[in-house]
Amino acid sequence: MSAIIEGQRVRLVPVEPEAMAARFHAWSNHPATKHLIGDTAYPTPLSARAGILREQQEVGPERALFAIEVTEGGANALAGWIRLGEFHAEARRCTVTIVLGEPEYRGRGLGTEAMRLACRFAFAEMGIERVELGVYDFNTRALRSYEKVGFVQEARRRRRVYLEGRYYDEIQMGLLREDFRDESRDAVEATA
Amino acid sequence: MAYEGELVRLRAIEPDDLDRYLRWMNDPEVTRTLSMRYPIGREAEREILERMGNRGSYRSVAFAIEVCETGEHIGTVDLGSPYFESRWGTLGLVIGAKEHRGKGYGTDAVRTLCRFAFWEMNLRLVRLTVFPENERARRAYERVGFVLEGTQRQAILKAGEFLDMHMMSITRAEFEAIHGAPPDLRTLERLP
Repeated sequence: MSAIIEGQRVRLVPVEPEAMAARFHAWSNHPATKHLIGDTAYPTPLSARAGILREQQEVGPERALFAIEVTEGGANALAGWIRLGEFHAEARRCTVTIVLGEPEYRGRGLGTEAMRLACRFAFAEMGIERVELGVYDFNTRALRSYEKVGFVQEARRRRRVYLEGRYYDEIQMGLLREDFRDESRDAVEATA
Repeated sequence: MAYEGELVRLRAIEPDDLDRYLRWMNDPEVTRTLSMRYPIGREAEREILERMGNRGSYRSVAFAIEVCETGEHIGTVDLGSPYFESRWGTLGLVIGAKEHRGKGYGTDAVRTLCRFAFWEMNLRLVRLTVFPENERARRAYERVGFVLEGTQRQAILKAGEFLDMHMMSITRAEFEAIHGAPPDLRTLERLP
């Protein structure tokens, strides 16, 4: 198993705490970005970021945090992160959270591909049977992206978050192994 | 990246800010209008900053105030110990860079912190105390919409005299009547 998970336009790479601290810091102090994943925009200092990332850098059955790099055009541009977490060994499930920190990469299908790569990793390499996530009802872009991967809307938790002065509903979604639409693998198999 | 006002932005406090805080907190002209009274050494101030700079939370959140145009760090604004049940917190403001007083930066920092208190933390009221003779601060708070709610008599000993303390507050409804209500993210044409 390679340390880098390659897709067509993006790849998932291990987190490098020192080298990536400044970008992660910028994303986690950008209110609009935090709101997209339902977080309150509390400030976090740059000085603490490398340490936080060091605690999370090890990929394993506690937490699998990856940096997302966009590989289009030959350069590997750091664009965000995706994390599998809250692993439940008996039920074989985990949660997933994704952030495209750089706004210019949003809305282009790059997050969808990163999500496919992470879910493929969860099913194929970690033996997960169910991946779940929450999305907030204003974030239709994310909702559509998750549906493309195969996530199914399962529940609406009403007024679950408070962001920018209002309550919003959380839509809970789940992806079972058989729901997964792994087009990136289909593409690889088609060319093989 | 930070919580943006019109003239200033609010960012996390960093260890590199220490020298400035040390200068401000030992400057009688700055502390004259604050409740703090004892001189403070480098190590003690470093520990305070570390605590304040740590990831903000509902329990306490503090920001460094930076001028948008120049990036210059000019002071602090914080919200101390909000009550979980009663949903109000106490605002504290320090403009340490004296040469920047009277430019509207403090007013903008207070307005921006109120936005954070109401629209991120979902508080119902922000309260503060101000010395009666601190006209400039009081006018700034009034511009944001704070109203005088009472006077604590002989509340604090300063330079041999027992001084009264004014208490001011603003409710979320008052704040939004002046500064407008937040948009519904579900109605946005474009997501961030």
